[in-house]
Amino acid sequence: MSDVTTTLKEFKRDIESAKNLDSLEIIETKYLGKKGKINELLQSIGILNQNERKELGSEVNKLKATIIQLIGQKRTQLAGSETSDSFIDVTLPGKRYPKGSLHLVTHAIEEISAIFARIGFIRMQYPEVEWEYFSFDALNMPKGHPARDDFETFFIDAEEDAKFGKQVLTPHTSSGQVREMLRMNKPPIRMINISKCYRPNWDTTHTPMFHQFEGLCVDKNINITHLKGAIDYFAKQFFGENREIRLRPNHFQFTEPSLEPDITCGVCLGTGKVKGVKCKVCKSGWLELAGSGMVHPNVLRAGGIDPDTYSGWAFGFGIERVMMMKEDLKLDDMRTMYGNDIRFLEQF
Amino acid sequence: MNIQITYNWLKEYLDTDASPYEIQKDLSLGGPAIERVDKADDDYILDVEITSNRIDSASIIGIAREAAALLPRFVKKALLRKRDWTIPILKKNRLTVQIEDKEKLTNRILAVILEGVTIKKSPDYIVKRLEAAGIRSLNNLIDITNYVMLEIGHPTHVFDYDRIGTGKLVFRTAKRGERLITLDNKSYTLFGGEVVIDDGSGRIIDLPSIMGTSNSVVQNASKRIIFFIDNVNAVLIRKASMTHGIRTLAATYNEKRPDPELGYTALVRALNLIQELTTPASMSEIFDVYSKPVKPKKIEITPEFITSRIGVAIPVAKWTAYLEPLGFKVSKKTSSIVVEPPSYRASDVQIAEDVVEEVARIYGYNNLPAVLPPLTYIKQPKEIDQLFQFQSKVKHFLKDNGLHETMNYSMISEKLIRNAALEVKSHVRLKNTISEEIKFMRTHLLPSLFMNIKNNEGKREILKFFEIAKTYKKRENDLPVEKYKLGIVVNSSLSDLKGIVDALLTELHIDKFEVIPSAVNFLTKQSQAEFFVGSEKVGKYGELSTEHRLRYGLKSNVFTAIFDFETLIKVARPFAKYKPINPYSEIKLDLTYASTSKLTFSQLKKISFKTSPLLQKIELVTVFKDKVSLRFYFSSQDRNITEKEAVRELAEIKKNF
Repeated sequence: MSDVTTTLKEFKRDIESAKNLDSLEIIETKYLGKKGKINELLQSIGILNQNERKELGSEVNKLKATIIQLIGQKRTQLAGSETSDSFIDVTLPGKRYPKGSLHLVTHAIEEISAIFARIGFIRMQYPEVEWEYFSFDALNMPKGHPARDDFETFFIDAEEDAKFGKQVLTPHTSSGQVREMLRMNKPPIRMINISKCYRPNWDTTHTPMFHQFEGLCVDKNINITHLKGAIDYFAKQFFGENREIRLRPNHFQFTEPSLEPDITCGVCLGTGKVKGVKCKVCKSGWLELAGSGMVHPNVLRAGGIDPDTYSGWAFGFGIERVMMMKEDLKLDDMRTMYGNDIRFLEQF
Repeated sequence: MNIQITYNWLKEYLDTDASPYEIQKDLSLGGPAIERVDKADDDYILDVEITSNRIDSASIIGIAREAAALLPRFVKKALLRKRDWTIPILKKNRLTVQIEDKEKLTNRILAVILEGVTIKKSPDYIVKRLEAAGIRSLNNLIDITNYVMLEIGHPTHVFDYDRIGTGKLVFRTAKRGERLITLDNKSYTLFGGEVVIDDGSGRIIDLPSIMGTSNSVVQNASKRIIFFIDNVNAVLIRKASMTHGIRTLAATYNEKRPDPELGYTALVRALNLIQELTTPASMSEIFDVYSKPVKPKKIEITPEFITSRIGVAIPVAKWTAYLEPLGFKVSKKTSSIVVEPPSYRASDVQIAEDVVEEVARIYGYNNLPAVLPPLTYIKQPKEIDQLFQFQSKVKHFLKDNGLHETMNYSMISEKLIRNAALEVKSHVRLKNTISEEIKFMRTHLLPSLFMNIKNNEGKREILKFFEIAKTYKKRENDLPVEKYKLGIVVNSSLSDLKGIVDALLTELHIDKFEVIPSAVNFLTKQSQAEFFVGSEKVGKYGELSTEHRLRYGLKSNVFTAIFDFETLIKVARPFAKYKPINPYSEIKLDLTYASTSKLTFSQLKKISFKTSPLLQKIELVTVFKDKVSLRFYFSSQDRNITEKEAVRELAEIKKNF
């Protein structure tokens, strides 16, 4: 009996006795490993003459192929029949990975920036501690305007500037409008300005610090339909299709005409009532969403832009407000937003 | 401001078949927002929001005009009912009042003295309509003042003629410290600058346009009265009303510049009601101080301009017709149109854009198409782009590693500044804060973050917070410097914090940083250090000192890191630097040593790399008390090294410790 036949016999006996994948692994190494039987046979070839070599070589290769095939078959067979005795509760939670959170406002800012980036608006930022000039005068809000008084704006204890007036905490992102016009030098302008803003109010619907985002578009031939287009686009992207939008006239010093987009309330879903009680958040199902309008010619002039050649629109949204109006967010107290309670934060 | 009017009252001025709910829906889209409609007996109460520029619409007449312009656009019948009031025919008396305004505080004053009035209860319809508006009925005379204000849109007032005595009404600004008692018997000390009326003897007898005083108000026995309309400097009215907290309905009207012309309409309407309800025996002449009558500006506008701003071509005949029910006069020139606003819109409509608004809102914003602005490329400044990108990257990285982002007010209390052992006077201070909690702009993030831990102690065992926000550094004669910082606080351990920081720096591809022990006052002496990249100080970290911990009232230890965000961006790399894969053998050797202040890991690392050119990296394996175990990785870029070689390298390193 040749060595090849003996080896095959031995292999068949071994593989017959293999009861699991581990013992099959040992058998595989015994025959096909670096120091296995097949290599042993091939090494013995060296002492043979050329004809014998050829013959044995071909036989060993055949044997190798047979062994590989049989091991493969056995592996498939064992893998199919293998069962474990021990019970594993596959419903148990896995290894715990850290779960942190981003602030709601951050989520909103990132989403809003992305939405406007898609239609070519760049995000800018301007001072929060700002001159009266950029917060008011340049926005067609002359001295004596109610928004400029102590009850509507925080003033800073600092020297008044001869040209720019007092320092204030900017009460709106609109202070970035004229700064952007001056930075760009001339249209086209497509900007959003996202920033902290401040006003002296502190109750369920107001925090003394809040966030706004301002949109500004100045170019040749810009009209109200473009403002409507941008607001419509944003509302559909941000709130989804099940919320309704309406545009109504309003009054802002720095826009003319001035428009106020309203959206159906996310807390009462436009019904005006929660469990039969008047909704705490909205007015008859509608929420004021933003202030907007066509940029007032005096504002364009303050930004060095000729209102006879160019026109534009602007809007300002409250970020906390739009976040509260998003479908699944039924916050009934704005102050929660900056309470930084871990039980609130960790949810986002 | 909001006013409440009733549907039946409105119908006295408006001929319409629209229901109150239809009026709500249609008016809200193009005119004043009707926020609520409530049924009340056989009437409906409409809660109307009035924007600050449209005080002319804060009345029955005003809403009727808006409805007459807007409802036809929704195919509903709406016509104004003209009610042209004339001065009632009454016996004349010779009573006079002398009105003085040397400081030019008023736009128009109207006064009539009536003799023999009968003060009694008002008729039911007046009581009900006032109640609907949230106004309590007092007597027929007082009720008339309120009723006329709501119907016509100009506040009115009534004095007891005999209680004034002198027959003089002198308008002047108050001196600081003067006192008055309002008709609701509240006493006020004046700041100076409020507009008051005195009787010529220095005695204050009214806080005009805001509230009457108790010494001149009509009483049940009053027989001779002055019916009075004052149109006063709106800025001064608002200031006085706000500073004293006297927010009457009259004040909210008067601070929005009601039309002086409307004052006359209000007077005539009131006289009719006075005649009917109080049956006076006689009246005086009408005293009218009105030096500069309102003159609306004529606006010339082209149809092309209207189209260019609205974006839709509306035929001229159509849009000029929109303006008529609103009281505008329109005349055509060859290629343009001249629009003249009514007196009650004189301050609101002054330029062509104002006319565009009137046309657009009556046409209906909801009838306009929505068109995206034409696309154009605008370059974002690189440093702004980077700032936002890195913020986002860092925030997401920290979040993914289990930290929670907080957002604190930029303003903090003096107490918090003192807790942090910072100088109060180096902070930007708010002049008119509404709470001691938010009085100064913060120069550092950490005090707020420590408070975040403090306020959450006990709610979760492990607390890990971070915040990226601006700090505000005071400057002389200029705006403060606004600089972003990144603050991290955890209550777990110093090693946990250091791990977060190391991971963050790795994420930002800052591979060559050095950690040097520091001596910052609010951190524990032994456990604090600063990060350097080259000579650039990037940030610091450590354990909050016990003294500071107790100041914040913190129960557990707190570990913190702070970075200057712009510096972090400066030293960060946006992308990893590729190193070729080394195909040669790598030998790992462990070493345990005793850690002392003289041999820190940072120093040891420096020495090791300096000593052995074959050293590739050092990893921390374990720390047990002062025993630190490290793993050294040796390899060469051009051949396989032997274990022997590596052992020799390590021995060489050890020699240099």
